[in-house]
Amino acid sequence: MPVKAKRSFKQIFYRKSMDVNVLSNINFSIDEGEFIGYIGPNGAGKSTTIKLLTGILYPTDGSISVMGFDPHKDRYQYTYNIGVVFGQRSLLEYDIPVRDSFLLYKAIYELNEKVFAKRLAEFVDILQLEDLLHIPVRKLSLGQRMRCEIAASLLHRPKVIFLDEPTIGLDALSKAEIRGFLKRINEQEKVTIILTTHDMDDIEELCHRIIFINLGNIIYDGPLSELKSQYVHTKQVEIAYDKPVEIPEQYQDMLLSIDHGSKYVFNITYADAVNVVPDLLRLGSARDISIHEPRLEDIVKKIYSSQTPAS
Amino acid sequence: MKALTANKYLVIFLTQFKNLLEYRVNIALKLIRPIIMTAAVASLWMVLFQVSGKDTIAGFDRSGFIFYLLVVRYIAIFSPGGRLIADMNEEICNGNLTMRLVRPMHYLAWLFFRALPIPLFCGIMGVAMITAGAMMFDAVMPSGVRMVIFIFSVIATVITQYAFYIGIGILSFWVYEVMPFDRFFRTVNNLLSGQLLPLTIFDDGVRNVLIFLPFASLAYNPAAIYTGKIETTLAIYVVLGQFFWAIVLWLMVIFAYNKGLKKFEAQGG
Repeated sequence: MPVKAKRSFKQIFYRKSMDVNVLSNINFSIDEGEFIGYIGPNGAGKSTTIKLLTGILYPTDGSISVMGFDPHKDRYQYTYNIGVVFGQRSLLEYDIPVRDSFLLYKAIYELNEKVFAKRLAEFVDILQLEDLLHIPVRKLSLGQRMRCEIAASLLHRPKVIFLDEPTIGLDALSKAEIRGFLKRINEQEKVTIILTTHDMDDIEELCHRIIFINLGNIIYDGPLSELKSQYVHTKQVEIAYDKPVEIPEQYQDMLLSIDHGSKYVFNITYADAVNVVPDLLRLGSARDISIHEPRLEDIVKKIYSSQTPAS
Repeated sequence: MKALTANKYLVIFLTQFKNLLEYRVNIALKLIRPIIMTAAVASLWMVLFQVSGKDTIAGFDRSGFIFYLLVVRYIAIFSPGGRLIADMNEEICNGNLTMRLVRPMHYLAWLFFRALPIPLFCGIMGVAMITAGAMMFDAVMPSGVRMVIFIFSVIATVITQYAFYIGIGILSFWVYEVMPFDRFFRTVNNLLSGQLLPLTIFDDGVRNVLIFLPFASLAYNPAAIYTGKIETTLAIYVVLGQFFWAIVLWLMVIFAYNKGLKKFEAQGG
């Protein structure tokens, strides 16, 4: 039998597997009350990190300590102290009304009646759950369900909350409500929050510190403002003239695009901006000007593209 | 603290029990199914009685045989069924087990108490059906000590059934599709648990081995104790054997679960 055919025949019964290192050299510590944005492209290892931190996965090497617990080894006791929301998974019982799910959590987290009633009343008020409590979970919209999921995961006053894409698939209003709520509990209750998301508006609005990972490694850990200063050295300047103008040769490299014939978009370094902008304004009769920094979304895209294995 | 911990599983059980009404059609069908199964298997045996020309086979006369089949079928109703395995298979393979692990509860206990209400409710209704069957077939009802032994035997049956079903579900940590294991188990179960043919059909040597295997615990042992096919002293040893297997199987399940958790990949975001 030819070698290739023999190998194929063998593969019917035996599939070779191999171990892949999803994370390596991940080292960080987080202080109480911090709101961390844990970001990176798909497959970077964000969710894996969250699963390790919540005790779901067992690290093959290295150690993890959260509030003195080993998340995997001490999982049972540890989970009394954490809240977890996975945007793509449900914590609630599908068939029963939301209130019954909450009662189930009251028992699971061993909350006394008074604490539970007070906490539930708070959430009903802030997250507007009153009309949802009697509805079976399967009948809720995504936004409604996510509000209930967040309430269910915080009923027991966790000290640390892990959020894995909590706003995925939500409309702008639902996102705003959830962001507002998270901001509030972080500020008022000093809860430590670790958020992974692809929604950079979540990050910009909520996080004080960003941990950026790619290909299983941390590539940035620090404040959002420093990330911008580290990766962004230009501003975008848009000038709308009354009619088309001629751009001098020395500014041609800065020109990004021309929209509607007379709206010019330039990419100008911080150092040049003060001198170049007045020159550009003198090129013609300017109707409008706007100067802005690149969006976090664009910065992140730039970092992703510079970090791909091929580059 | 201990009472509170126990309380959480009681609440899981009661929450699911409250849910029973959502599944009333399932329950009705589950309760009717043993009668249809009994009729189907009994009709085959009646042919055998006719062909053989004998009044008794394997120690049963015709009505005794039908009653025995009814008893095993209603005892088997306590089983959580393949749905439990399918749910575990899905939960482990698609990573939804994640949502169970981030809560302070034991997954195996959660599975047990969550799956228990419907089979338990049906089982209790089943015992009522057995009682009605006993009157219909003029069977002698167990009384006193034998009834107590029967109740313990059924408790051991329920614990053993869950160990088997949850054990098969746990294989999902290693293989993606566990339903063939479920079907294989059911086939062996049908043969060795006494659901198709009473173990009295085997000669004494084989039967005395089979009644101490865990499969016999799933149907034959309680049915034989109820119908008086195992005498009282032996019945006590049989029930002790049932509890022995229940403990051994659960220890194996817990061991496999702890091993499996380390292999859990928590697929998906």
